[in-house]
Amino acid sequence: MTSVELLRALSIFVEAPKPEHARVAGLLGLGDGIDGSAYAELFVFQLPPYASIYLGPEGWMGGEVRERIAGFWRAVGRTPPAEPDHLGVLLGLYASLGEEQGQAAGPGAALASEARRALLHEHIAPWVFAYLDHVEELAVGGYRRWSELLRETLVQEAGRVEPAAVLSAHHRAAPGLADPRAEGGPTFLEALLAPVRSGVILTRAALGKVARELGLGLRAGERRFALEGLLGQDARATLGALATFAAREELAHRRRVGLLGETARFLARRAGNTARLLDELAVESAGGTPEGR
Amino acid sequence: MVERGSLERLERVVSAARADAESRGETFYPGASRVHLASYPPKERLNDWVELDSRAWPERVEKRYMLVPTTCFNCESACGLLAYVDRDTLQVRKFEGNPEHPGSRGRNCAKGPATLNQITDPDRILHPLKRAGRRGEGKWERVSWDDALGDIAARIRKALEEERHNQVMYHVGRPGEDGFTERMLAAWGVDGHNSHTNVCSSGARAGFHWWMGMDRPSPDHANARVIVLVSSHLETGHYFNPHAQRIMEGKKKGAKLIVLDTRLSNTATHADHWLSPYPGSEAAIFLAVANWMIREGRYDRDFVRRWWNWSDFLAARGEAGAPFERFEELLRDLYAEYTFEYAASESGIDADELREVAKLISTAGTRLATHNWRSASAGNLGGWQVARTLTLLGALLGALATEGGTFPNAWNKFVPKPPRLPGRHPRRWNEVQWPREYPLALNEMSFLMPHLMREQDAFLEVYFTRVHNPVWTNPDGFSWIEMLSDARRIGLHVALTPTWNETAYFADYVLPMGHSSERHDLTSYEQYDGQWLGFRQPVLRAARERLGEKIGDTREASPGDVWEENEFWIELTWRIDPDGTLGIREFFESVERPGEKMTVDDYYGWIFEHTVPGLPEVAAREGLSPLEYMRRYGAFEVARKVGKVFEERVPDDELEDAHVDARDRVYTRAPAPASPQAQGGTALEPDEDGRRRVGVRVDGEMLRGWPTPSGKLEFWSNTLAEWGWPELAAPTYIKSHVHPSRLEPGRMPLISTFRLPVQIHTRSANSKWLDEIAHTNPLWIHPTDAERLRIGGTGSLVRVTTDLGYFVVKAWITEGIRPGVVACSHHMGRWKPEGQPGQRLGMMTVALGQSGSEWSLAPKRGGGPFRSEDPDTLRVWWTDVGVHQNLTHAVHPDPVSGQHCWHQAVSVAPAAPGDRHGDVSVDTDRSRAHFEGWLELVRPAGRNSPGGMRRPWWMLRPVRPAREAYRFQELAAGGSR
Repeated sequence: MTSVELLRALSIFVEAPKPEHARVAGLLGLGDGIDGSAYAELFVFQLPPYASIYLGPEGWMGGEVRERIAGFWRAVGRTPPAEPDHLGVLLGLYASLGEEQGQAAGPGAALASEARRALLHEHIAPWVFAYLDHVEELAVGGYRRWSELLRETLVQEAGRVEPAAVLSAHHRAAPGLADPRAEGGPTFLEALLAPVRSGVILTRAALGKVARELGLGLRAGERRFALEGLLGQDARATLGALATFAAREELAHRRRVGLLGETARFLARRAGNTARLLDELAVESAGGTPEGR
Repeated sequence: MVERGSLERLERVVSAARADAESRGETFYPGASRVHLASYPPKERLNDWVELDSRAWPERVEKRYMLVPTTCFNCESACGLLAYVDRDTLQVRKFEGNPEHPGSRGRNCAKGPATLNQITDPDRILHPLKRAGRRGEGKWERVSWDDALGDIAARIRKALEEERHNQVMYHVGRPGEDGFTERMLAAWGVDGHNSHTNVCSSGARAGFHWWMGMDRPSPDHANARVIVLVSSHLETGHYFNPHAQRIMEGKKKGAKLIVLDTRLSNTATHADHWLSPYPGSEAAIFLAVANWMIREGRYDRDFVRRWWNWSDFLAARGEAGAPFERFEELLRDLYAEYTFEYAASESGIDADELREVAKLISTAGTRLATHNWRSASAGNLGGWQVARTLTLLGALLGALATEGGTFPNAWNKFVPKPPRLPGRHPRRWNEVQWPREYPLALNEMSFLMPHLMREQDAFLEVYFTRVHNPVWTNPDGFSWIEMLSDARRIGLHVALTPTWNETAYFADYVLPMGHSSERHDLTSYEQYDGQWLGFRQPVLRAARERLGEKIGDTREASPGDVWEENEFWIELTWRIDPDGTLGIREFFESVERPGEKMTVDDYYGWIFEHTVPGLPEVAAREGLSPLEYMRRYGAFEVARKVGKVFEERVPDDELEDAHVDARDRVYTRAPAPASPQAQGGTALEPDEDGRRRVGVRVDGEMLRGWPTPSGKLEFWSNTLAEWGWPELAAPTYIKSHVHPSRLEPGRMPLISTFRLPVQIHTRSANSKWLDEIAHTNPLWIHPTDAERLRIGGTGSLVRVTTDLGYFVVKAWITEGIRPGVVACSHHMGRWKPEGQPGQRLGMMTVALGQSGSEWSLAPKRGGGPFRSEDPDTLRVWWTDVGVHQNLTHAVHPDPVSGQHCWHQAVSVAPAAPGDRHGDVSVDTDRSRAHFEGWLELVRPAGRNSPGGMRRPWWMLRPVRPAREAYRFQELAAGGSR
């Protein structure tokens, strides 16, 4: 049984909650906590639900990733919405292709099935499972339950098709992590904060946790500013903590190799490389800051 | 953790709940997605919507609203609005888009939300006023509606009783409604419908009409491969917002955009190819593209063979019966001279770029969407050929009424049949509006009124200006003031307007009418391949009715004595014919309760119940009456994907005793099937035996065809040929009156046909938000011209001299205009005479001076802050409200289409000593001389009049008079002209 309606129902929770969400939340048994402040904390401040952030070389919204995804919408005969890479609309599109597959016959059904498989492998799976890891770390109550349900539904969907034989175009196009010793500190920090380059998702909350654990002050501001603040206070400890974080991320990716194949291996490699580089830098810094800063 | 099997269970639970909710007509999921467009309240909560009060921030104070749909009344796009009515105070707090509206789809431009400014404008007119001094003196007294209606009705009744029907005239700006007024004038038996269209779109309309029998384009931008705009539809124009969003959709799907505009408009900035032609050369460009496509064989040969009236073209050349291949030979010859090099020499655009554009257009196939509304077609002598040559490109590609192509308006528009439709036509021809000199004019020659009234020694007993401002909008405004002030010409001038305007100052009555959220109207406009119906309604009335009140008269729910128009006209008509002896009242009696006055609920309720296919069924599914449904949602989509109507087969039961004539036109004795739509469109002649035209035979099939005399697309117009213009009967290029060869030394073209994107002529004048964004109209001038003319810099005063006089304006030195051309938007430059009441926002106070035919307008005070009940008016930071340049424009009636050709030949120089910004000086004697000069270009009906007619019977005509009135014989019996 495909999960068309369930995915559609889950997709609405990636948008700001309105009174109408309560009915669907009740049906899904999400419990309490689906409210404006939880939404804002999770999806606005910590984990904006846009594929381009997790698949683009800059780690920003928009850019080529969004263009590629818009192209996919057009290829399957849809007008791309204003934000075609938003998780909510990607899930909605996946559900609607499932519906089309169910209603069509013969070649039409096969096409819809292929489109659905391509959407999952190219534009959803390469980032969403790692993304949901962090949602589950940060969310409590309804959104945590939502994330578990969504993960399970997508695992079920991914299990229905063969793992991707080749990497998605986003992964193929993404450069690796920059080494500050060769390319300078600013480039390194940008790459570290771009999940597709570093293999890790460094949320604002993760940086806060590092600061708390190391007894450092967390400067208010965007993530790069905060990270520079931490490195400025204690580069070695910060780099070491980030290396541990990256190693944990590598393990999480490796656990999904059975499900996602090459996609998970790619992310694991990236996270592993990041962990090693951070370790090296931590040793080298010996109380200083990474070279080139 | 997620339990085993729980996903399947949840899938079933959610599916069942959704099906259950939707079976009750409810939405299951929240409204349209934030990531798709914007967030709209779901329809279940239209009666009780809660938002936080932004003014109470940081407190979280809830405001409860009723959301009531209506339709914007600013431009003619008729976009849907949702009024947020505060449930506590019953005041409108804001306007947003109505997602249920199929044309605008919840999106609005700045003018929609700014409706709030208009209804809360501290200077709006709230009570009926009657002139107390001389016309234009500025003395007014408040009167009751009862007194005003009594006076006006008595005068009209007397005129009708004395067979002076032509002395009653209704002059409308943008109508913003379909059908109500035309029905009323038909009931009155008055050929008095006068529109502004000949200063607006009639040039383009003529070009389309003589091709297709319909007068406007409906491009399917969203599905186009190539879009060609001779307009600025990404920023303004009819129907800008619905079109702009679909143009962007098309672009997102890969469509290429070509924009022809001498200025670098906001639209041109989005173009893949911006062509900045010398004004008036656009048709030469299109013919060069056509010539190349014809020579390269890049046209849909079969479409041309099937659907062009090429055999008429051959017959007119004395080669009747020659084969299609012969036509193709002649077609090649006809346009051979229009090379890219020729078009380059006319337009000033590089031939290679034109070639590239031609190649791009030729790749569009049947997905070429094109649009022209005013722009070049409204600017130039022969401008109507811009639309005609533009359509030639679509006709070559077979891109008409195709997905991604260009539809004719009538197939994408739905005007429902109203109740008690008068089956009568005016018996008298109104020569002031439809003078014999312009028998092919597509619309009334309204801008010539002062001259025609004088020439014909005509008199109007009652003259209505309805949300219209001819003194300001038309060229030659001082001649209008002279006419309106002259009691020998105008007996009673009634200005129906929500806001003071330059014309109302010279009226006898100023009657306050409602803004968009204060009136009833039906609208339907061609905005995509579909048909929709929009309902404008007084939202406070609707809100109070939702709360259980019964409102009998909309004035009960309006500010002051403001009224809505429908009720005004019904009441006026009853007073004109209180006992029914004139045979008029019957059309304004309730269908349900004969003998009683028709109410707006009667009128619209009947229409929605009886003549809107599908609406009663959809309404019933929600447990609503059709009227309740429209009051709740504001719009209804009647049809989608109308497609190629011309290719539809005529059903066998419509082919009773069918006859096919020598030109393959099909006639039948079967009656026309009942249509829910109001009558309109062209009037096709029956055959000699009285059978009606039902279609055209193409390759042996009986098809619907086009509503033209031939039933085909009229590449060759026999109408133009027979009425004196054979050399213009096929699409061609007419050199403009501002063509370089016609300019005196030192003169250059002035383009005035463009809008400021957030403004809409005089209608938006009282919107503080819009005025803050755009409030002045400097003269665009290229740096090389500024240097040549020794103009100091941006902001320097310059004097622009026209044929009638001059105006003084600030320069804006910009590379966004072609060298050798200047431009000044016709928007802005609003004024009120000293001593008159009126709008303080966006209006300067002026001294009008007159000495014989010499007039002057001298600003005494600009805009600026003022004290009112709205504290924002003290925050007005701008004083420059622009210049009223149209006063200095001579009338330029195109001898064929009748369109006023707006471009002016001007000289530009630094301001003279003593000149002040906004100064205007005009000699109206010179305007008469110019009128007479242009009159020499005409070929009057008296000279070229097949059948002794005033005008071709088949052509479109609002409030079509009886056939006898078309004949000149009626003239002899009728008296004046």
